[in-house]
Amino acid sequence: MTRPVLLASILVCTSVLTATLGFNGYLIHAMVIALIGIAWLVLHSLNKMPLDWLAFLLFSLASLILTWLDVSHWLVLTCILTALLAWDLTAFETKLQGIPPEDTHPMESAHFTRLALVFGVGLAGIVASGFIQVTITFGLALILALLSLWGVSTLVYRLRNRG
Amino acid sequence: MNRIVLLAILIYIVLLAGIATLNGDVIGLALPLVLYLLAGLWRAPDELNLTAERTLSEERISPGGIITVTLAIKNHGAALEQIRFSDPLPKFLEVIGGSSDRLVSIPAGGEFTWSYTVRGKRGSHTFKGIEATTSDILGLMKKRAHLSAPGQVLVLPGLVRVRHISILPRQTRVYSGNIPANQGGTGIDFFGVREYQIGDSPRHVNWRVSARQSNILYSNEYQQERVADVGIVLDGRHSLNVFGHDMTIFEESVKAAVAVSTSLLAEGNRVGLFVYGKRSKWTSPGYGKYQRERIMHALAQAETGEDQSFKSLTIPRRLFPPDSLIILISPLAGEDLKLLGSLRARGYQLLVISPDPVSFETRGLPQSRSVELAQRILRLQRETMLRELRHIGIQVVNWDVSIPFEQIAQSTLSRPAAWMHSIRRGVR
Repeated sequence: MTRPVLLASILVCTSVLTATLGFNGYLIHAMVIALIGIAWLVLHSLNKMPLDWLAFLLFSLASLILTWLDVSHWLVLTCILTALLAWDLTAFETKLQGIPPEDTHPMESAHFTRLALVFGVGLAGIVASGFIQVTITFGLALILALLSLWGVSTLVYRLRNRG
Repeated sequence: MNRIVLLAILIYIVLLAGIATLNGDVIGLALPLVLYLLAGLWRAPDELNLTAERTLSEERISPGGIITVTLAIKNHGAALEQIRFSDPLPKFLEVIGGSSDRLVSIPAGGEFTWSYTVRGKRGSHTFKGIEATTSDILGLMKKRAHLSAPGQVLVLPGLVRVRHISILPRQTRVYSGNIPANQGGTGIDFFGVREYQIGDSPRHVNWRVSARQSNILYSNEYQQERVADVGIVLDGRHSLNVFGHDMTIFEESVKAAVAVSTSLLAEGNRVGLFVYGKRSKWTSPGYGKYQRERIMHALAQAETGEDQSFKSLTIPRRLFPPDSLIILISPLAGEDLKLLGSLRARGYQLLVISPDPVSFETRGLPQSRSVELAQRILRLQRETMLRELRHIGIQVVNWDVSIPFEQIAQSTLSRPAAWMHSIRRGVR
């Protein structure tokens, strides 16, 4: 199950990014993205995945750039989520190599359940942000944003120390 | 690249871009990434507290035999969502049932037991332990541990039976055996006559010779049969034994060593073994079944390699005094002539069993004119070398490994070469 979902996520992400950039007149950028996507697919089919992180980073940054074009927010979100999914499943599939099928199936179920939870809560949060309006001053918003940066830093530090 | 760091970099970029452009939608894009990171922290694994126990159905098998390895893991710590156990195996063991790698979850205080079966070629392996790697479900955090689970597997070399190997060493030991000693005494084959001594059986009196002499009786003497010291040197030089595509002639040499040592030990000789290869090692000489076991162990562990210079090979005199028989099993290289000549000069009697590398290698090559030509040149060089070896009094068996060793042994080693008798008596 992992491989089809992984291939589908790379294809969707590449297609959406390429099409969106292409329709907005960024033909060269669209071609570069398409080439990266094809390289990701080819390298993956050859079981060579040393630069999957780079593809994920580039696709995420390209998705971020889409927000400044007149593109639907949901398309941008689709790109980010599929890139994250492809990157996650690439690592997961590497982990499954050499594992007997009786272990693979329960682990796939657990992994996809956790991913569904993460993506579900994330999407719910984004949808909720469209409805719930909290009016705060710019200063407070800035403090909150800086707090979140500090929170992420602390989280990463803690995770790395534990690992 | 570390996955957590990559995610963090991306989250910073998205958040900073959102703040810089005052765009809430952009900040919203960081939400799935942050949640993904939080999911890693939520069920991140704690320190591993596991113990492992290994059970082997057999510890020593013949080639092709099957061993079931059972591993029992006990978790003394917190629940582990995802843990991978990997039991490293050497190349010569092939997993034929189950898997030596498992990816499972174990509850707190729980146990996990699994088995797999392996089949092996010749070799020896000491299991050191199991590699355990645990991570959260999303694989962001990992912890590794090495679980001690010792065990040892020995796949003995295949047994090749040779009925009799005839050797004629110049020096024999005092114990009676099957090798004709160059001395008169009790035995079967006629050796000579000597003056009658009190105690000689009347049946041994040679009446015909005695009748020709006046007042003196002569008794027949028979050739004594004793055991001998035999040193087997197995040449495992990588450069000579291994050809392209992992083709190795070394297994054939091991077969020959098994056959020769088994046959000589069965006849009561004192046999020692030196394996020159990855780990050069002497198995000191000895007799009987116990020695056979020691030699089989050493042969099971023999691997090709280059431990030290073969040119500096020395035979310990305290193990094998001069006049002992040394059997060298080697594909041979041109530069070995000097070494063998010096061993011969030191008084050792040499028998070289040489698996033919030329015919072995060319069988794996496509037939073409250039291959044929190369084969002819190599064969000429080899024939010249073997002739020179024979010229310095070394018995050489050139073995085309497509023919089973039993057949070769039967045709060339079951009785001594005629010219060996003269060598033994010191006549050249």
